[in-house]
Formats: sequence, structure tokens, C-alpha cells
Amino acid sequence: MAATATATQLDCMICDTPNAPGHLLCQQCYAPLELARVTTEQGREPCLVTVLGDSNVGKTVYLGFLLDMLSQHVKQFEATPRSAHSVDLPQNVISHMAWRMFPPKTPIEADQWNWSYFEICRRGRNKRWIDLVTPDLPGEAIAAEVASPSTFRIIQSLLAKSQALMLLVDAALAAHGSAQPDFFALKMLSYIEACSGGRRGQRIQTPIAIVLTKADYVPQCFDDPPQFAKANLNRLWHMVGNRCANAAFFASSVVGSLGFATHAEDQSVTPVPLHTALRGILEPFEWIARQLHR
Amino acid sequence: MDRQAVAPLRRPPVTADLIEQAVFTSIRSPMARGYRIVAASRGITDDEKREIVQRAPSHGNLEQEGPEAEALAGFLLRSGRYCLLQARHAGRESSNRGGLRVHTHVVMLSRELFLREFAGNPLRLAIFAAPALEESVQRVEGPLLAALAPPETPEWGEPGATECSANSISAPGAVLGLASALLNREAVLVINASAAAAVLQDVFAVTPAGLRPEIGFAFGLKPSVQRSLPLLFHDAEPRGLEGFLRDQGHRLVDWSGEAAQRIASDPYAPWLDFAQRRWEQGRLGEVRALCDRLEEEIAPEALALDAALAVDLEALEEVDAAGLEQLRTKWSTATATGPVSRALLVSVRERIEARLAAITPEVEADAQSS
Repeated sequence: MAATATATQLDCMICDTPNAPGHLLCQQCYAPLELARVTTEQGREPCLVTVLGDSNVGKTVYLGFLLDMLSQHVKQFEATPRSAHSVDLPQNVISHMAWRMFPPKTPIEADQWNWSYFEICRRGRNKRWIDLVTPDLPGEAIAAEVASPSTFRIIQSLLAKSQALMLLVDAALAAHGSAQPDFFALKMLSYIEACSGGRRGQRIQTPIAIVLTKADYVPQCFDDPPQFAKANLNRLWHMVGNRCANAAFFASSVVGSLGFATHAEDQSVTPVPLHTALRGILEPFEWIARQLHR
Repeated sequence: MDRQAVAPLRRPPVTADLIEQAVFTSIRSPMARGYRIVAASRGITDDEKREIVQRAPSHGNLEQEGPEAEALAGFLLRSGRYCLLQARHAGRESSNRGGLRVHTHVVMLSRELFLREFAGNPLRLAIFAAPALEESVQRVEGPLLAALAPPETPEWGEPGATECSANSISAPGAVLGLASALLNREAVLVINASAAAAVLQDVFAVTPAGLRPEIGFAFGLKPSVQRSLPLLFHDAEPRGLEGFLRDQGHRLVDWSGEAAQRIASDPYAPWLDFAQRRWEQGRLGEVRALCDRLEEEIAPEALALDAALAVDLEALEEVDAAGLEQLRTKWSTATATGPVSRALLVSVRERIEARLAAITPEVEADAQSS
């Protein structure tokens, strides 16, 4: 996936479209060409991990905290941003949460997505490097692409190039009886399978970490995430068992306690994150790192 | 079953005669949440819906942040139909993560219907669609919308009006510089235009109807590569648009600064010169009325011919017999292919003969008396 660059053109790292060197965004998929430039300088294959999930499942918050944790050298990981823009996402998330606000919705417009490129070193007996590239995708764009393929071709390109995937599923909604998270996850895996182009009976080989978010609503999810999925996300559970060669379930939570504020004018209710209590943020990434270095 | 009692099937309405509509916004429903097409009429294809999703503004993409923010965008879809997006803020966004919900009402119609009923002017289409927009903001009941019937008797002002548009606040030179760029297929980004709709109205007043649908435009929306249309209006500072301008190739025009220059060796120069003279005489309405009729005559040569005919049709009322003879010679062998130029040519020839017939007895009488 290493990008190529010549004096007259720069190939997009995501869709391989040749672009003029002076451009900021790929003319085809609107991915930042800065990624391609940095990759070319690095001379090392970057690792693309795509985080997927329905709208409002918590992708931005999860990704922001994960990248922030990695850049603070948690456990054996040391992460360094490869560009100033890579810090936008964690800064956006941490700053909003510090003000007891969830960050705003990610817009559908592709040129307004946050792309992060971090160089991650896993210390140990043998140092392992991962050049992590991950975009913060809006759930609506993912849903639109799944419903009508080629609406946002960049998502197809991302899936084709991703070394690993994280599929976020709203555990709180599922536990409260909504079938929407289960159906969305089922559609998502079906779409991933279709994009992988495997033969009949061939399983999806890409490692997929299925992250059950907002698990603070349902603490029992932390005790046994696969069992929770089997009980509350049965369609997803069976799909994973049948079609995924390398998948694992995780529970995660960001919010320690949640308040609810009512607006005086229209009586709408806004959830207020009173404090953060991170749990299960790093484990999915640790698992992915182990899969990649096998 | 009594076959005679079965009523004959009604012929379904021809899709090309209807105006399709859709709503793109973020509301919670049993099936989904977030920004998507929440309602649409039957005649919108999957490809057209895909394109609407790609172009319509999502969260935080109206240029103004307040509840009164509005936006308008119009462009041709890949299917060939014309699409108009009207967007505004409509209360809080359903996920309650801050910010207002962007509500976009979409109307879509065939190019032929757009030219026939609205003379290709998207601002007229916006006026027509305004009640449907208001209704959709109040409530969206169910995923299926009815298509709209075109207006029965469209009234967009008196044809041949001699007064300038009341909205014309722009200097002719500035608008014609903009029109010159757009007619020559150059993309333009305009900043510091306090009334984008008025500028757009003036641009379309000097643009033949047949070319108006080709001029995709947007105002009131944040810059995005997914809406890189030929004519964009933004409030942003030039510094913030550098990357967009470099990537998309738009020419930057500061409406508060020096007027945009016309394209060098502009093939549309005769037409634009004619429009400028009429405008400066306070007769922009006549130019608009003429442009409303120009569905087929859109090539520079055809427009130059129409301009010359319009000028001479007026001038021949003032010239003497010798001048009339010159005009007769000039237009005797001219050919016109478009309906408007053919009509103008017939008018010029008839008027020349009528004036000559009226003048000649007077000349003979003067000669006899002297």
C-alpha cells in the first residue's frame, strides 16, 4: 500500500488515483494527500485500521481516547503523530469531554473528516512498529455506502486496504431491546464480506475487533463480551461465527457517569458526560497489534 | 367476475411532467438515525438519491450558524435532470451533541420541464418549491412523498419589462465579468457578496435560458469538494480557501473589490456588450425576457446574431431612407436557425419594408413640391 510519488504526480494512499503533487486532497476520494507524502518519506508500509459503526455509536470518542492513550505511552505502546493534523481528533475529543460535552457529529462531507497518522512502537523483546492510519468516518456515510454501494467509494477503498477493522456496536441500545445495532452490524459484515471478494464458503481473513461501546450502561457486558453478544446481538454473533476467520468481542466504555440536561426552550434532553472513566479502550487495539504481528 | 364492471386502468402520470421531491435530514426513526434521505417521491432513481446524499449539506455545513441560516444550491445531476437543494436549520439535531439540524428539501425535474416552466431559472423554481419546503420542515410523514405538479400559470414578472430588476444592486461590469467566466466554462468562487441571490438573479438575467441549467451554483453552504460547482459564494476569508482554490481550480472574485475582468477574446463579447448597453439604459428586464426565450440559441454566434437583430430592430425606427436601405441590404441574405432569431429577422425585415413604404410617398411628395 506504500504510495508512490514522482515529480509530476502523487498516488493517493487510499484509492491509488494519481494526483498533481501540489494538491491537498485526492481528486477521486478526497483523502488527504499528506498521508501519501509522509508514507513515501517513511519508506515503510503503513497499517490502515478502519473504525466502522452506525451513527452515534461512539466512533469519534473511542478513537480520540485511543489515540490519546497511545500517545501517552500506555503499557508497551509509544505513539508519535506524523503530522499536526493527526492530533486534531484526540484534541477535539479530549477538549470537549473536559468541558463535559460530547464532541459534535462528524459531517458527511469527506474533506471534513479527521485523519490520524501515528507511528506506534510496541516495546518488548523485539520492537515492533505499526504506522497507524485511521480516518474518523461518519456513521451516516458508512450507512449510506452499505445501503447503496458507491455512494462513498472511499469506504470501499478503505476496506480493501485495511489490515484490520474495528466494528463498534452500541451495547446500551442492544441491551435495552433495540434490534437496530444488531441489524446494522449484520449489514456491515455482509458488506465487508462482499468487498473482500472471497469465494463461496471463504471466510473474511481480515482481523475484526468488535467493540461493544457504552458498556457502562450494561456492566455485565465487561464480564463476558462474547456471551453478551450472543444474548443481545444474536444475528451478529452468528454472522461472526460463520463468516469471520479472525474476530473477537470486546467491551468498552468512556463515560464514568452521565447526567441529563433539559433545554428550557424546547424541552429536548442532552446527555452530559460528568466525568470520564476509560475502560476497555486499549484492549481491542492490543489484540489487533498481536494479529498483525503474528 | 363481471368483466364489464372493471374500470379501465388509469394511465400513470408521465414522470417527465412532474417535479420530484425529497427530504435529506437527521431524524430518528425505527429504521435508522442520522443524516439520510428520510422521504422521497417515487420518481427519484437510486443513482439520483446517491448523488443527493453526496452533495446535500450535513451537520454544521450551513455557512451561518444561527437558526435563521438558509442555503441554496442547484446543479444538473448525472441523469440529466436538474436538482435544487434548499437547506435551513430546523431545531436541535436529534443526537443532541450540539448544533442545529440541517433540513434540506430537494426538488428535481427534467431539463425540458425546467426550461418550459421556469425558463431554466433556479430562483423561480425555489419560489415555486417554497411552500413544499415549509411543509416538509413542519413535518415529514412517512418515507413517501407525492411528486409536485408544475405551476399552471407561471408568473415571474411582465415579459419585456423595461425596468431593471428590483433586486439588481450589482454593477453591470461586475456581473458581466462573472457571466463571461461562466459562459466560457470557468469556475468562480465569489466572496464578500452581501446578497448572493441578487447577484445570481443578475447573472441569469444575462444568461440564455438554455445555458442556465449548466451553471451549477451554491450559496449559504460551507466549502466542500463534494459541492465543487461552477459558481460558489462564500463568506470565508481568502486565506481559509487557499487549499480549496488550489485543488478545485476556481477563480477567486472579491465582490467588494475590483470587478472581475471579462475573459480575453471572449466569443460572447458581442452578446455581453449588448446586455451591458441595455442594462446601463435601465432595460435589464428586456434582456432577461429575451434570455428567457433563448432555449436553443446558446452558441456565441447565435447570441451575437440575436443581439445585432435586437439592436437594429430598434435602430431602424430612427434612421432615414438611406439607412433603411443599408439595413435592408444587411439583412436580406442573413439566415437564422433558432426560433428567436428567425422571429427577430422576420420582424426586422417586415419593419424595414413598412417604414420604407411609409417614408417613400413622403420623399416623393417633398421632391414634387420642391
